[in-house]
Order: sequence, then structure tokens, then C-alpha cells
Amino acid sequence: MILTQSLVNGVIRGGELALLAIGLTMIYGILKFANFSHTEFATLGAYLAFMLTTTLRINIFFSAPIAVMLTGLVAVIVDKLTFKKLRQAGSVSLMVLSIGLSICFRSSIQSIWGAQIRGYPIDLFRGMEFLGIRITPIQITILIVALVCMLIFHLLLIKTRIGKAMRATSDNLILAQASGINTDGVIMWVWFIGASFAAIGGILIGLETQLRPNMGFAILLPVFATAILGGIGSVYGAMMGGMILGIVENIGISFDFGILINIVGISRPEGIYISPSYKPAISFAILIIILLVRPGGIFGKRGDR
Amino acid sequence: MKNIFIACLVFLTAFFLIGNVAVNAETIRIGAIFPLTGGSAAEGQDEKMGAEVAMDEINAAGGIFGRRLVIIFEDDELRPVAGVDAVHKLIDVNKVPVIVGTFSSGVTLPVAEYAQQQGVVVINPASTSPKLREVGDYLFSVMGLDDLMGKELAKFAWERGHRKAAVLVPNNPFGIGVLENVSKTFKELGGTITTSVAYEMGKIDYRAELGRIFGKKPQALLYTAYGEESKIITKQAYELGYKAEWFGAYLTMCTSVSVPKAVEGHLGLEPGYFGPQAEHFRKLFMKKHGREPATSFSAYAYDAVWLAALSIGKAGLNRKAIKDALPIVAKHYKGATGDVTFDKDGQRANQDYSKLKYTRGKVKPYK
Repeated sequence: MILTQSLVNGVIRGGELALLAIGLTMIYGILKFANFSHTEFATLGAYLAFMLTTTLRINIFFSAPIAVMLTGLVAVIVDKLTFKKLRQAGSVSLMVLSIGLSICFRSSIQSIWGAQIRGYPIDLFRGMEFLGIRITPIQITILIVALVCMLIFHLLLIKTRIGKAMRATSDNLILAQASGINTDGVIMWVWFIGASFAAIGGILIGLETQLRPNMGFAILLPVFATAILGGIGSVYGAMMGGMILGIVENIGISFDFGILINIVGISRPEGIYISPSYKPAISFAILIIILLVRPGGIFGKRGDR
Repeated sequence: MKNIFIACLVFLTAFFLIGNVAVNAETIRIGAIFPLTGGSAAEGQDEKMGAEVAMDEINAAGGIFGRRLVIIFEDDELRPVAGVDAVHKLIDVNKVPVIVGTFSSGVTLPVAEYAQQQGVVVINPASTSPKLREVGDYLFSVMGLDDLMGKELAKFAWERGHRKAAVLVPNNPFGIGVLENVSKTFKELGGTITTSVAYEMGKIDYRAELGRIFGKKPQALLYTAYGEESKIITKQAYELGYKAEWFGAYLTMCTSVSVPKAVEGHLGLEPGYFGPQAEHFRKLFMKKHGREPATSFSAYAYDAVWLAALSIGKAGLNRKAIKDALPIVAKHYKGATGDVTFDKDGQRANQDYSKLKYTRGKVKPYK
């Protein structure tokens, strides 16, 4: 059934969006600025994994984690060299800096690897069919990886000291500092984990589709929509928001709105569908509705943050 | 010190200018715009190589009035904006009398429109949108337009026994031209078009479009897609296990960079190149480039450059004279792609198409 297939596609897309949105929402919550270069970490991670797999001939199972770690490191270095210096500068300056960085990243990636579409050297698999849905091994991998990452992160937040420190810093930076938490260390870890998750998301997107230098930029606004939908600063909100957006996007374009017209008595055999080109528009429409009705997002506070 | 610097500058500038003028006196320059990078880089490079074969052959025979033919190649990146930048450079800066190009109708249209305004002849070797008829008398097409291709593709699918078909094309003048003509003929024959999708170019994920098409379970998919996008579309269709018989318009373009497993068994049509000079062209191409032409577009570019050279040879460098001479030259020209006589709109009058099937990694004649 087409709708169940869309549901499956939606959950997978939701996982990808969630992985990218987690880092974005954490940085936004703690450092109080919108990091427009966040999704470039996804692109970077994907291309680093590509380079390791093709140029150095390392198997994707090993090159992926290495690429993820490298991306996390890059994020920490970038923060030390740029964002940290402007910590006191106010959110607009930081946002503008992030826009500049995003251009730098994209252009560097393009000049190193070229503008043409690249793909990972993996074999082509016919999807498996069960219960009327088609799912490929890669999609199953994406689902499992996304779920495992979110589970690990959840355990990290609840069970570990650094997790507690992160939650404290995210709630109230000044109070956390006053309690003796090394907030600088926490921030470094937030960059590392946020960028690593984005890199994982990027590699998964690359496995499922292809690589292009603007793949991160293309997904930037849906990722922002996810973070805002879930409530800025809330990691669980990002996960939830990702799922909702992913599912709504996919069902939105496969739902035959002709059924509604049929009730009124008019019939259209070809059906009325939203064109797939409008998929991003669905995310933005939801974003606008959320901002009007509940600006704090699902897990945010009532009113503004 | 400053004086020495200025002197050097003046000397270098003079040297450069004199050098340029000297070169200009010795060569005849025409322009060529192809997608050398981007989604159809394979086809664009193939066109360039075909053009180079013609250029070498013409120069080996003594050039045009004893002067060497030089082609200034520009890259349109398969993007209309880049194509317009290229045509501006060739016309405003290089002042060429003839331009060969491009590939995608979406690029050829704005390029030819500017050239039409400026009175520069454009010889189009590969774009096929019926909209090209409306540009004007300075645009000529060596390849038959899609009113012909669409009709033949629909007939091919009908002959194979299909009665329910879906259509998938890129969302640009070329794609819409194919869509309209293929649907029209298929419906006239009595078939039903279950869904038509015009996909957005430049994406890396087309599963939504594929779901839309195969949701209605068509027997056949009548499609055309640029190389890189076709690679993704066919790969994802394979992974999702969608079944139907695929008919590709310009099959070599649709399969040029695709994963062989994903396009195995695809049928389709290709503007033939089996004109009197086809084998001759093929040999020259092999000799110069060390391999077979990748697509038929190289042969069309070859014919286009020859037509340009012959027209200049007949009419000189006056642009209007070239425009008037071209149809006469074309009528007598025996090309690699067959009879390139133009109709009253300057578009190719007769186009043969070969029926092809993609088998085990190669496009082969369909039996």
C-alpha cells in the first residue's frame, strides 16, 4: 500500500532529520545562536567517508566511524578558532559568522572533490518486500543506526556525568558555571557530539542517495524546521520533530486529496496530488503553523524562549 | 623603478595585442558551447570530441580559404545562466560568426535567442524541444526535434503491446516537449497515460517521483533523463523493485553513466547515425581519441562543425550570408548522421531513429 510505504520512507527521513537536528538544537540552546553551518558537517562527514573509502580503499564499515570522528574534531577546532572568539558578540554576529563558514565549507568541499555527483562504491541491492512494503538493506541500516545513536545519546544524557553537565548547561549556563561545572568542556563535547551526529546523518543520506557539495545546504531549512518544531534546545524535541516532519512530508505527497473531493461528489480518476517538488514546502508550511500556534515548539516552553 | 615597470607593462600589452591580431589573421574562429561539466558532462565531452574530429579533418584538408579553423569551446554546465554567459562571451568578446551548441534545450533556447538578436548563426547538434522552431531564422538544428521522437517512442511502446504507460521527463523545455508529444501519440493510438511526472533536475533523491509513477502500476514507462539524474532514478527504481518495461528517448543519454544492472533490458530510441559518412567518422574518432564515441551526439556535433565550415567557405565571414548559405550547403552535405536537409524552420526535416536495447552493459540494436 502506497501509504504504508510512505510511512516507512517517512520514518527513515525522520531519522536523518533528527540526527542532523540534534546538534543544531543543542548549540542553539546553549550558545544561543542559529548555526547555519551545522548541516555542512553532514556534507563534510559524507565526503570524508567517501575519500577514505575510494582513495584509501578502506571498507565503509571502518571509514564511516573514522570520518565521523574526524568531523567531530573539525567542529571542535572550528569552534576554538572562530565561534569561541566571538562568544560575547551576540547571536546575530555569530549567525553571520556561521553563514560565512557554511560558504567556506561548501566551496572547499567542491574545490577538492568537484561539483559532480559522487556515490559510495557499494553494490546495488534489490529491496526486500514484506507486508506490501519495499525496503532496501541500506534503509534498514539507516533506521538501526539512527535509533541506536539516539538511544546511546539518551543514555549518555541520563546516566553519565557529562550528560548531566550537558543538561545543566543547556538549562541555565550561568547557574551551571556557578555550580562548578566546566562549561567550556561541556561546550566542546556538545560541538563534538553534535557534529558527529550530523556526519552520521550525512553518511546515511549519502548511502541512500548520492553525494553533492550542496547536500547539507539543501537540507538546512528542513533541519531548522525540525529543531524549531521540537523546541529549540530540546534534544528529544529534535528527535520527535524529525519523525513528524519526515512522515508528514512523505505522506503529504502520496496522499490522494481527490478522496476529499469525492466526498463532495466530484470525481477525478487521476487523483489530486501534491507534486513531489513541493516536499520542502510541506516542512516550511508546518514550520509557519508551529511558529504561529506554539512558538516554543513541542517540548519548548509556552510562549517564546 | 616605476618607469621600468610601466615600460614592461606597455611592452607586454603590445606583445599580447600584436600576438592576438597575428593569430586572428591566420585562423577562422567559431564558437562551441557544450555541457563540459555537470549532469551531462559525458554527453558534452562527447560532443566536444566529435567537433574536434571535424576540426582536425577540415584543417588537414587545408582549412577554410587556407586558414586554420579554431573552435573556441565554452562550458554551459547544463545550466541556462552559464550558457547565456558563454554566448555573451563568444559573441560580444570573441566576435565569432557561427556557434555550435548546445545540448539541453533549456540552455539552447536562451543561447539561440541572444544569438538571433545579434544575428549570429547557431547550429544545434543535440537539442530537440519543438520550441526551437520559434526562435528565428538564425537557429538551425542538425538533430530532429521531439515532435518526431515523441511520436516514434509512443509507437515503439504500442508495438510491444503496452496499453497503459506512465511518462517521466525532466522539468524543462526538452522534457516537456517529449512529454507532450509522447502522450499525444500514445493516446491517439488508443492507450492510456496513467501518470506524467516532470522531475526537478539536480536532486539526489527521486523516490517520491518513482512512487507516484509506479503506484498506478503502468505496463510501460516512457522516459527520458539526463545522464547523472538517470543514474539515480534507475538505481532507486531498481532498489525499490519497481517493474515495468522502460522506453528511453535518447537511450544512450539515459544510460551513459547508469549502473548496468539497473538499466538492463531497457529499450529505447536514438537518433541514428548511419549516414554515408558514419563509418568514416567512427574511424577518425577512434584514431584521434582511442575509443568509440560514447553517444551519437558526437556524430551530430561533427556534422554541425562541418556544416559551419562549409557555409563559411561558401559565403565568407558575413553572418547573414552564412545564414543564407547554410540550408543550401545542408541539402548537398552527406553527413555522418545522414540527410541533414532543413525544413522551412531551419530544423532537420527527416530523422531516422534506431530501436535499441540495453544489454549487458551496452546499447545494442533491438531485434
